Amino acid sequence: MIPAIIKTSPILMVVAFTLPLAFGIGLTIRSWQATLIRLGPWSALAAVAAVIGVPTEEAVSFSWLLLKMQLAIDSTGRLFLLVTSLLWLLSGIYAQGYLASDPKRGRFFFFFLLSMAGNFGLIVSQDAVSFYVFFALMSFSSYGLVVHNGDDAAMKAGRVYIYLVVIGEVLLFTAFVWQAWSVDSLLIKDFSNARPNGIVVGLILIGFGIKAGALPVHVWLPLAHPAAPTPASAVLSGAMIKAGLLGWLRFLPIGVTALPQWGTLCIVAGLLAAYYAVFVGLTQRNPKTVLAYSSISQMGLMTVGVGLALGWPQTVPMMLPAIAIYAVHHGFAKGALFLGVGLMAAADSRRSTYRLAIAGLILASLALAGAPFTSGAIAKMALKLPINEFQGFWIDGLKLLLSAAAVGTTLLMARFLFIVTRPSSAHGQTPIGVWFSWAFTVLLTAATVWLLPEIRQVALMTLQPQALWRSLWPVVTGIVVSGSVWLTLIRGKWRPAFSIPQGDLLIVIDTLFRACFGRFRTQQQRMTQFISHMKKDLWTRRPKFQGISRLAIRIENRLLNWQTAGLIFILLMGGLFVLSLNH
Amino acid sequence: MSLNEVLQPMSLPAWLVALPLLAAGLSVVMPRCSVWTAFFSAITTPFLVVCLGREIFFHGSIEIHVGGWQTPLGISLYADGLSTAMLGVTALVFGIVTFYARPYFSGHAVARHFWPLWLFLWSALNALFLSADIFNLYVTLELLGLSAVALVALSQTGDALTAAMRYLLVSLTGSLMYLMGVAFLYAANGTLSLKMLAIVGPASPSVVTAFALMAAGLIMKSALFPMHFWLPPAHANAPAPVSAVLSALVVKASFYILVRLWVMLFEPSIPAIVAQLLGILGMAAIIWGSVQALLAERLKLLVAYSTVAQIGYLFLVFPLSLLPQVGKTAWQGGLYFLFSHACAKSAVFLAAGTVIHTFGHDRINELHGIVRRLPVSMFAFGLAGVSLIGLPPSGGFIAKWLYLNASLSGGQWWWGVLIILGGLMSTAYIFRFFSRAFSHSEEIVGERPAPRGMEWTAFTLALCSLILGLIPGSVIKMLEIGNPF
Amino acid sequence: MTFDNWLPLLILLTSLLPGIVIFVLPEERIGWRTGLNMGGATLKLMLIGILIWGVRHEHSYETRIPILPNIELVLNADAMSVMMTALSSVLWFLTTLYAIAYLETSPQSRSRFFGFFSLCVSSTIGLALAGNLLTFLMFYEMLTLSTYPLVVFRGTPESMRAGRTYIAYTIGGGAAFLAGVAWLKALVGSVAFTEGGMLAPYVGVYATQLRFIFLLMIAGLGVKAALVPLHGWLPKAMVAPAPVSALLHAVAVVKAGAFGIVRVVYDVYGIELSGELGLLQPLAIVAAFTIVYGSVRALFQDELKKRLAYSTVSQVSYIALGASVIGPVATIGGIVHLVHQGLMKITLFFCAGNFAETTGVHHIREMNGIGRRMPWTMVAFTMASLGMIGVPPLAGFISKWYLATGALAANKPWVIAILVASSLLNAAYFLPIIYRGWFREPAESVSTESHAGLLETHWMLLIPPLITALLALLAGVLADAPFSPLEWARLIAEREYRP
Repeated sequence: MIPAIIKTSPILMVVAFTLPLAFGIGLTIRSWQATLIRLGPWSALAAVAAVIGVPTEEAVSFSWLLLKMQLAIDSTGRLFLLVTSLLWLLSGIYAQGYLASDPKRGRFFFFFLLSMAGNFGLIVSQDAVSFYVFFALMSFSSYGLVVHNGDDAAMKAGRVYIYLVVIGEVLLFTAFVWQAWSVDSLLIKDFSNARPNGIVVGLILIGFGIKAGALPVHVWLPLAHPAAPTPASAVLSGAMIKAGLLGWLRFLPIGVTALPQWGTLCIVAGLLAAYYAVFVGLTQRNPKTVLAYSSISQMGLMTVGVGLALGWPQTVPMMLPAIAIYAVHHGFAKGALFLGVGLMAAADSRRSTYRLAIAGLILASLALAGAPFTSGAIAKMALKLPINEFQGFWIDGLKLLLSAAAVGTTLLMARFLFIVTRPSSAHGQTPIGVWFSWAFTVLLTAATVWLLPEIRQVALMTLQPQALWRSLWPVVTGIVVSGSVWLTLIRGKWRPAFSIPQGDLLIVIDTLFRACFGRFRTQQQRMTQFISHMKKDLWTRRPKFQGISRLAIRIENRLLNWQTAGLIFILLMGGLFVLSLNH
Repeated sequence: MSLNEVLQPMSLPAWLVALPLLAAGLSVVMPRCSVWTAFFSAITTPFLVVCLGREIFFHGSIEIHVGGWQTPLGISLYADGLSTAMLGVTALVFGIVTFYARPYFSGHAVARHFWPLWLFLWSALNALFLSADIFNLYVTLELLGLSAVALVALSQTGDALTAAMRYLLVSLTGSLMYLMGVAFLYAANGTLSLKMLAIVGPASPSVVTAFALMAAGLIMKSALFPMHFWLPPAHANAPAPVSAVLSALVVKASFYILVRLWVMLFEPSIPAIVAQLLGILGMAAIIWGSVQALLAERLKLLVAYSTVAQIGYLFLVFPLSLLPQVGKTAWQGGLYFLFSHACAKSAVFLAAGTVIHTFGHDRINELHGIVRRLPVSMFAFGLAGVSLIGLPPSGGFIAKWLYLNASLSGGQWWWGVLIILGGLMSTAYIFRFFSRAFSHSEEIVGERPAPRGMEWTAFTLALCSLILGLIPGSVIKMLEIGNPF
Repeated sequence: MTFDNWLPLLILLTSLLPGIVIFVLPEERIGWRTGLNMGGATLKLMLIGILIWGVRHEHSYETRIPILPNIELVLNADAMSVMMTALSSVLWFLTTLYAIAYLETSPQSRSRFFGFFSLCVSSTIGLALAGNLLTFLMFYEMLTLSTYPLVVFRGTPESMRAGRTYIAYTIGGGAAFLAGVAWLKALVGSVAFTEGGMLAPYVGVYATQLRFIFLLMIAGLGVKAALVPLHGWLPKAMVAPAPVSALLHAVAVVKAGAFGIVRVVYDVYGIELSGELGLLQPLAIVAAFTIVYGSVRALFQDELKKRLAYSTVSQVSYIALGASVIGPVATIGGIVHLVHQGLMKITLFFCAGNFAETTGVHHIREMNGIGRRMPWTMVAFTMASLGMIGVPPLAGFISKWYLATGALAANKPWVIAILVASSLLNAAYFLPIIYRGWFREPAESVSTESHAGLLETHWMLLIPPLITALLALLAGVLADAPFSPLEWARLIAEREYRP
């Protein structure tokens, strides 16, 4: 078996996640730390190589590993692996510089590399168990990234994050077991080929929705992404969040069975997310939080795509690549934005580099908003194309809503730029690696989608005039609106009075939870007190044997004296005599 | 005479009786070397028993007539599997306890009285187990009783003397009753030999009277509840080695006679209800003995009451042996109980003696953390306790297992319930002492170094009671010989 | 008698004889004692290697010693007993290593400790190899007796109380079990373990009696397996020294009970028959309740060992649960958890012992930042507790996966709910410990200076938990590799359901 693997390039898939894993574990040895921190991020190159090197659908399987691990890269997986690997690579390099003076950077890179391994592994794994394993590896080790700063905000974020992770884990566990049993196989393709029952679909939607920041369960995201160190936020928002999306694409019966109700549900939830997140995000003061909310709204758009594919199989052939493309575009753009935030914080506003940074951020923002000629335009176009297959009133409505969402995105980005470009005179010496990686990310944001063969013609379509117009007007509207608002603000020194606290819904949940749990706590204490009282009570009331034992002793003394003994003896003899006689 | 003549099968039983007797005489005339004569017989007698065992194992049971006179005139000795097994356990216990007794009595004036009586008791026991007719049984029983009483009196405290007096009266009355029974039987059948006394048909009034007298006497001598009144004081106040053999063997001797009579004479003609009565008394004994053991404040008293309880188990054999198909199992169980209890109880008494010897008292509540002083003795106590509780792997367990089988297969499950209950109660009283022994305490008052001999002899006996649990097959095969049941 | 007839006995003796010798060994002969212990353990491991290989190839090893005319003492190595034997001897080896270091400075007698320790393991091995109920019963009681001195080893009033509770529970249970066995013997005459059960012919006649007997036996075994409401002794018994608790919770006592339940269900009654008699549903319910109850109680313990003890109460019932769900998959899940729980739990107790020994930390509230003081111990602890939660790819995940699948196959979806609840509860009481250990600033009370130079504590205290943690990881990662616990459990299940 071994030589066979070496012959075929799929071995790269194994290397892709074993290398970071090995480096991560190696980091626990103190003397190796310096070296491994320097090498660590580059281990993502193995994944990049896998993207290029591994032929599609060439599977490797290890019969002795886990429950028969199977690995392969399909076309969707390739796109996801592309964006993920590059983003991890660049953020890693960024982190080297960014955390150069952080005493805890050893710990950071440990968790960073482990999450990285998990993220790569789950993309290439083709059986449910290995997927689940890597998913868990990623989720649990990214806890370390979230709480890295160690301040209260980070700790709270971590707490919420871990709660939701554990819940998601058990939901997925149930779903997987159920499906594995009903199709009697562990391979993902068998999973998605069989028509699952409603429970499983629901579990999968929620379970991965937590990771993907879908609407009701997104609450951890606006806390965790800002709390983490900048490079971590970049991968959290750019790469890991996509794992949830991938999970949907992999485990939902997309293209096999039409589930219109579930599809509609997704669409509604997605649209709600897209708008709601914008609304909340506009009120935020922390640039990273704004970006987090924009991630939620962007994921909302992708959720719409998933919903369409889930409900109407005929859209699938176009929709799957579209979603993947959108993931790629959003990954890079969001990565560039997050990394940029770190850059701005450190940069001196009087320097030319500062202006360069702003330029980059604006570019990325425009891409996210879907301005013409940007990757965003192509992604949005690709996402909308399948819808054209339908006619009808609500289809137009849907299209309109999608375009209008772009307005929201623009507003949000404007808000972001407004916050992030505060004149600052911080002259931290930003290492070259940081600059390099950021610049490269921006470059990828601009370029990647154009270079992908999968949607060459879509890319070309975006250059047609009406397409240009369709992608232009929302951005323009957004810019105009925000600009005017900004001006008014500048005029009458008015600041937005209110701001919804991070993790909007969480407050509601939190209060409810606290109420219930608080009551439960008191109940529990009362109960324990009651039990202890009962115990003490029973102990004091326990049957006192003194009386009985005294009686026993008295009887015994009576038995021991002669008269009784003699009497008994006579009786005994008589008894024996009588009994022996009677028959 | 040469060794071959001694080892000649026909003379083996005679030697078994004679050897301890001669040793006893020897130790009377020259007290100085009494210890060595005792040791000599402690080594040779078991050897003789082994020879006898081998003999009858291969050639079946043997009967010899001392001086060549046939019954009814002469004395005849009879050895079958049962009696050989009894001789075996006697030899085992006596052989080991003898080595305990030496350090125990070293430096005491009473030693010179102890050894002759000790050896005399032994020879009386051997004679009893070998007797083939009911009159010899009476004689040996009497001798046994007298020497036992004398031995109890040896420890010379006030309590001991009153206990001895009471014991004397009991054993005299008991054997008197028995003698009257013998008289009735002889009047009715004109013979004394157990074999010839086979009673046919429904029991005549005289036989019934004989049975009532003998049974009552023997029950009293074997201290079955409620006739146990004499046992606790006697056993608790006697010197440790004496208590050991009293509990282990002497009470069993009267039980043995009762069993013999029951099997060979009375069982066919006496109604089953009598057996039920004996069983019920046994039941009561188990519960009552255990309760009293739980309440006892002194270690030796605790052990003595546990004997009362265990004797109850012995008497369960009567109802159980009447059950269809499982009679044999019941007998095996009962006798196995006898053997394992003999080893275990003697071990426990020796351990208790060591405790007293070391700490000067045996008040349970003041015996904290003694396991660090007397690890071996406590270990012996524990092992013996295992057998008394009836936990595997031990003789006690095998016995209980056989009993349980008999009662459950025979359909009278309530005996089984009782047996398990008794086991739990014995656990309670064993651990009542044990948990104190294990507890950690700083100061242990008034300690005197315990001779290793005393510790290890107790341990050996305990070990025997455990080993009995691993070799029941062979023992039971032994019991089959000359099928006494 | 050929070697095959001797092998089981030899395996038993490799721990029994050293134990007996150790008793008579004087206190200061540490070298001898250690040599005997480790020698015996190593030898045992080798012999078991042979055993595993043989049994894998359908080779039968059996020692028969007749005790009574119609009863024999049978030591027989079938697939299930081999699994239990291998587990206990591997863990014995490590625990002995651990105990030697742990008791270096103990005021009490160490030869007493190690003597009873070996006895305890011997009885575990014995009941693992037992070929019929009587033999099982013998070693079961022997186990009770040989563990009592270990529980009360410290001799403090608290431990004496614990010992009394322990004896009261276990002897009572033993009595119930004895009653059951004797009754069965009287009823059907045979008490031999046979794969697939042996009572099928009698069910027509004795259905009711068999139900009662089952009840008695499970009640007796449930005491050691700590099924609620018979679990009261377990949390008390954790006053014992750490190595004892480790062995008690991982293989010796608790596992003996669970193993017994498995034996009774599969090899005496036979799973189908137990199902027909309607005995499994109640058992499943009791087990499920125990799982949840134990976890909930664990949630509110602040003393580390107490929390672990309650977690044992919960985790061990997975085995009973697996045994009470019909179908090979559930069987695999239950049986494999026998090994997995052992590995994880012993790791946890080792670690708890290390914390207590090295830094004097007994309560969870004192554990802030202990990961910095004792990183390796904490690593082991983290892995084990994640395994308990069921995080992949650790061993616990595999058990849960199979249990859940089996439950679905047997059309008992509610079992999944139980598993999920237990996982959440496990997370709720293990994650906070990990969080404190790694992510909280250490309190002043915890001395942060490293004491053993390079290592955080005595190497003999450190190696065993690391090894067991590693094993727990490998058991999950290499689940499908040959000779993995899972693969072995499959073998067992296949033989149990073989027509």
